[in-house]
Amino acid sequence: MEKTMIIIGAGAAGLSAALEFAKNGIKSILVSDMPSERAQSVMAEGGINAALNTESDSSELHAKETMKAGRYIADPRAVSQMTAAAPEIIEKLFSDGMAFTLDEEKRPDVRAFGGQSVKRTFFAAADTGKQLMHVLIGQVRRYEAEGIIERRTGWTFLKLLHDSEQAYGCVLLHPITQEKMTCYGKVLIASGGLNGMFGNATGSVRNTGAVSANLFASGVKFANGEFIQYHPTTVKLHGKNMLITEAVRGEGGRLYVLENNKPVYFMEEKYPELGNLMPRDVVAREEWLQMKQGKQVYLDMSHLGKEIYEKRLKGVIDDCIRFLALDPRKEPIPVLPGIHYFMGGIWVDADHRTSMKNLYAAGECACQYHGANRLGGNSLLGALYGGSVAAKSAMEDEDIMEPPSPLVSDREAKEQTAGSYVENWQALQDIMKNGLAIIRSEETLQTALADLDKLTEKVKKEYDTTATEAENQALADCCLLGKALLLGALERKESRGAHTRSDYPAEREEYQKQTIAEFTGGKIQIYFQKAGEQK
Amino acid sequence: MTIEISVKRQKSKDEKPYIQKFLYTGDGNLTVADWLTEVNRKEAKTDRIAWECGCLEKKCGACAMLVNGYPMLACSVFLKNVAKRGKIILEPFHKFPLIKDLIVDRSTIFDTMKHMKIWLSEKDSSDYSWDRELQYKAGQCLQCGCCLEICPNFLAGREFAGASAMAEAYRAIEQNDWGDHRNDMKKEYRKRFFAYCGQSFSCKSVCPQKLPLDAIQARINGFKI
Repeated sequence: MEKTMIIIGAGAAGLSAALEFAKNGIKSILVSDMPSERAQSVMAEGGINAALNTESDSSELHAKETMKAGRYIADPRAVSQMTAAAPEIIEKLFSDGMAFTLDEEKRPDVRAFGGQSVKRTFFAAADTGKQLMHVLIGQVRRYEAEGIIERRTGWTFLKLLHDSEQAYGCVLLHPITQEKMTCYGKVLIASGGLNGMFGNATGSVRNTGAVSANLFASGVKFANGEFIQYHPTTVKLHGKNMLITEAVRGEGGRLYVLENNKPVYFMEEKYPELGNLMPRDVVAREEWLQMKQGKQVYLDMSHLGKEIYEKRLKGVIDDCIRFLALDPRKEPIPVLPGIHYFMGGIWVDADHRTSMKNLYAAGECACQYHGANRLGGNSLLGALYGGSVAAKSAMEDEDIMEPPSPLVSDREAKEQTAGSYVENWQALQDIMKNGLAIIRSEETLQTALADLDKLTEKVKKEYDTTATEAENQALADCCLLGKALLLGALERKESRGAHTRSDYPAEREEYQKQTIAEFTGGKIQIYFQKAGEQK
Repeated sequence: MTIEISVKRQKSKDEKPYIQKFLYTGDGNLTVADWLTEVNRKEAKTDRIAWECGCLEKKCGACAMLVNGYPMLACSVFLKNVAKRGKIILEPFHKFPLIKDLIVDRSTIFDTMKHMKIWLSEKDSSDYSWDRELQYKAGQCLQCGCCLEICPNFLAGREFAGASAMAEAYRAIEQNDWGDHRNDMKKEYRKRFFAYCGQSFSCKSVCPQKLPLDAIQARINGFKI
């Protein structure tokens, strides 16, 4: 059998993996429903972290701060390896022509980012992800022309081919023609976060979570699903949220709610010192408490003045006018917390091997590096580094065996009845949004679980003939994965990082572990284990 | 306000196109993309309109289509601003092969860059005085295809590569070290762009990123093309 790797997803992690294979002369098939130019990675604005190893910084300090932000449940070995590799990654991007913002010496400049004691975030103005992807896409194009990387653009992952031991490949589906294609080989997943299961994430709507959910339903372990990073200032579009940069508050923007038609600056009242500039998770929680009382939170920047508007916040003003028909120089922006990143994901070890042989995962779809909360600037780094490590592991591992014949998929098509995919999907989003909102409790989680059980029963009976096979399957799989996330949040009886329980407000040492969810024998099992310990 | 929104639909390239009409009532402060999302959740939920979207924030270029005959990104245009006499027509791009409804096959954009060998083989490290700002801007191209749809000289499948490949070629040629690969790229540029461009610059006027396509072209033409 020809040695070909299958990569699902062509964002930063997928391209990084494809390049690693290509440099070693290994062919890969790069599968994505849209070209890399449309991947969520192009949306990353902030930057990419690397310690310069100057007097004030080191990769050890970068690792320490990554572990601290993740509240010590990330895998320390994996984190140290990533931060050690970071400076070289930046240097390579620079020498590959990435248009970083430069300092006076014409070297990539750094800026300060939250949660980090030194400046170590490299950036390309406000479009770091776009400029980074531009470089990777160019390199991949070269290997495409040489026939080493083969793109299958326009195809989606339908299901994994596997038995109880290992993966043998996967089935792809063309969503328009309904054509199917079977690919045999080791499979590397780089399919992004679970945005679609919630509907209020700031990332791409194409990152539906369907691939992760299918793998979970196929018995692949999932970890830390309850850790979801919320950004405090997002605005609601239809089907997703859009980020309003922290810079608005940095420049003096104020958050308030109306009480008796008068503004109440709740952050400034409760936290007189830092006020609106408290850390993201604190601001998001305070907003949530206001919203629970039925109040709309506003972000006011109407007092900041022309110079700040023109020099520092022009992008925000343009975005509000373009997407909200609202001029923030004249009226406040209605904001709410929105999902910004999924720290949890497919369980992987430090070398990005999943719990199933011949299956690897990297980028936001994997659980690696960020623990209970992610440092800004670490996601692009994690995607690039993780993608290449996953590829190295796939090349190191023994070659795949011939699949036993006939290879039967573990789940058969259901009886067809009329249903509504669109309605059920929105119901799932509502349940997940409420259940895994910023503040959780036994009560809210149990309510969400009961609702999800009802929905799952409904979904089991229905097959919407106006939706594709992949969509019908994704709905069922995402209900299952959704339940696992809720159960994880229920079992974690503490507050840690991005997981806040009103009934268990303190961090508890016995939970300084990863949450593992596994679907075996038709049941979801949840347990806790130290990162880096056995599979 | 009430707006009549007509959507050109076609199940596949082999089937006949037809117009489906919807009536929108509201303040019009809704983007075309948001309207499509909503209509697919409601009126069209059992026969959803096929269209592409990703970021919905003008960063990925997926949702490019013809809105009242003009190529633009559906995510960044409000119904109220685009309605003409209370009407909006949504159509797929005309110059690319149709896939379904508002989705067209834009793979030619990416194939062309492959044929033109647009990549960096060896960076010219001797000179850091490049115009990084212009390189940065060229790197902001979304590859959405709006510039190609409006261009009087472009048709998918023909030799002319259009402005999106030109912007990419500029950056690769400027950054690449002197040598065979650079010469190949210049030759391809001459053949697939320079020989055809009629300098109408409709591409510049329609670019969602407002790329300085004239300045970029002036620069690349300066490389002794």
